[in-house]
Amino acid sequence: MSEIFSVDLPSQSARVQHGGEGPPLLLLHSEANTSAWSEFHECLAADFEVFAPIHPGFGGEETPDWLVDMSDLAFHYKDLLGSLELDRPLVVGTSLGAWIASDLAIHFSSLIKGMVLFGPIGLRSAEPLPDLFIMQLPEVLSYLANSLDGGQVDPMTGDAELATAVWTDLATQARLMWKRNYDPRLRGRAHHADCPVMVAAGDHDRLTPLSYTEAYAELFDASLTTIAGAGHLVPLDDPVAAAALVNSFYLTLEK
Amino acid sequence: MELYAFHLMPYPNIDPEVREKYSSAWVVYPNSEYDPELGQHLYSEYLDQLAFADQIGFDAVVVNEHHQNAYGLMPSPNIMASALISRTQNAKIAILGNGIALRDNPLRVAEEVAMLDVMSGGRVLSGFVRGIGAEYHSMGLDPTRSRSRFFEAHDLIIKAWTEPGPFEWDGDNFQFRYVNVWPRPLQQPHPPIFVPSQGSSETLQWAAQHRYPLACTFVPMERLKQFYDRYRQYASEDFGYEAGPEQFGFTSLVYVHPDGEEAAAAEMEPHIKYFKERAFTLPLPTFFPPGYTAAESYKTRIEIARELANSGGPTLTAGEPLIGTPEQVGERLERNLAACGAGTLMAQFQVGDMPHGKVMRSMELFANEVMPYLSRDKVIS
Repeated sequence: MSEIFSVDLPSQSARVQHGGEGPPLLLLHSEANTSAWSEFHECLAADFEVFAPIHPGFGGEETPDWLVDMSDLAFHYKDLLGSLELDRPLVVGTSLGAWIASDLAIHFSSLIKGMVLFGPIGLRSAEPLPDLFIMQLPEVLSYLANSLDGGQVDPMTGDAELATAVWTDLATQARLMWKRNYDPRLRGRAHHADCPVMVAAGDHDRLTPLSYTEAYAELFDASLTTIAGAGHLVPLDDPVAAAALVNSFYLTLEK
Repeated sequence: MELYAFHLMPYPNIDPEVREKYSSAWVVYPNSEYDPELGQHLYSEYLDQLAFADQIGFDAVVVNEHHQNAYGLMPSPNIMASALISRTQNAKIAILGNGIALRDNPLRVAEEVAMLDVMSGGRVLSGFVRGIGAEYHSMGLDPTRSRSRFFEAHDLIIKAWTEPGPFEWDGDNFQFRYVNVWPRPLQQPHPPIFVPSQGSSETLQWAAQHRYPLACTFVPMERLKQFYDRYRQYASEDFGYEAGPEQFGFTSLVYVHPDGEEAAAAEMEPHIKYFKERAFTLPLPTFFPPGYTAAESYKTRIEIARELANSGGPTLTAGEPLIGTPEQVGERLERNLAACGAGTLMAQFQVGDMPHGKVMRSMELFANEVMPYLSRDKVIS
């Protein structure tokens, strides 16, 4: 079980889902209406005090004017860590959330203990990644996870509210990655992320090929683990295995 | 009553299986399907049709802007407007409109429209549009910036036309150290502005505030009435004036046939079908990409998409169909305008793959047997 509270930050008010006890963990969610407290959160909350904020412009919120690029979110989350007085939390991010985590670590790695990135994006790829913004919404979900029900978000035949929720999340994602679904500066800046990093990907990932995730891991000098049967959003497809991976990674970190 | 001749300049040979094979006639429909030699004939015929509209006394000819598609072959409406200057004598040239939010440099629009206005002796009507969602895919532009870019580009262009340069512009989307557009438009203070609307309150209120006529394309009569009523309400309640019929226009397909409605409808049916099933093959995420509208408007759009799916596609007709004998078309045309209090009909004579001869015969009948009987000077209210 979790509570949700709000924190006023210089950028805007942040909504934070919170639950569990243990060392602090900042969980940065993925795209397309996948921010809600889930089985993955529950698993993590068994061992960590989980702070799972909803990104600005996600969870039904319109895209805020102040949000221009990914670095705005790094500063937003730096302010959140300060405001919550979190002492070097473990940062866990999935897909878009992993990109935000990478940017946070590049700018402020001294504030975090380490990070786990599931299906990270944000790197330039030799082959273009599929364009989520031109796809029908059910197809978007099929690229993201095996466990999501695309039919539900079909605007023509599904639930119009749910379709709109996915669409408005994609809108803010469009602000961040319509023109480029990567940050050309990431490669040159990755070495500033001076903390231990683990990268994990599903072996049924339809969005990013394994070679892409390997390159990401190499760039951040991270270990790479693949999870059998999972798609791009590993924590949705296999929450138990994903949480176990986070746990085992945490145990390897220096105290 | 004002009569405009509206044209999309569509490509007539879209693959019959465009939906199955390509899912769209926009953005991703391969341009290897375009035959430039056919294209030359098409431009020539389409321009002839608009030139003929001028000869028979239409008040304006209408061009528009769409990118990377087979639905309408005018990515640059200003090039079409330029071609029309020398082919027309009296008609206004209505550019409906320039996609000003799509330009990296909106001053290019200020320059080109000013050129056209000067070259045409002040015959330009300058429509401004955001561009439909598909254009944001085609132009690589973040649709969440669309509204902000539209409003800022508008303010910049109007200022460039009305205030002495050089001046500096430092906006959220556009920055120029020197704004000093040469030439300036001939019409003062600037060519009349038109805007379309899909019914968002923000746009209706903004248009009413600036007294910009609404020129609506492919909007059914019931929605037209709603849009116009809300515009009139904003005008009187917020801005203290009564909006007259000259501030409202809409498109409708026109086909005149001597043998009556049944024959006319039968002859138009394949072309309407072509329009709906091929040219308008436009998937929702292409039409309305994430962030193109507010969430509430997207929900409305889902409702409309469901209605359209049930009714077989978008309507080319607002109100009573203008397909029939000259008498039927004339009477209905006046009734349609009166029904929503509009002063301008943007008549679309060519649709989909309709061939040139058929268009011209219908236009001739319209000229000879409809126009003389219309109460052109009557203000319809």
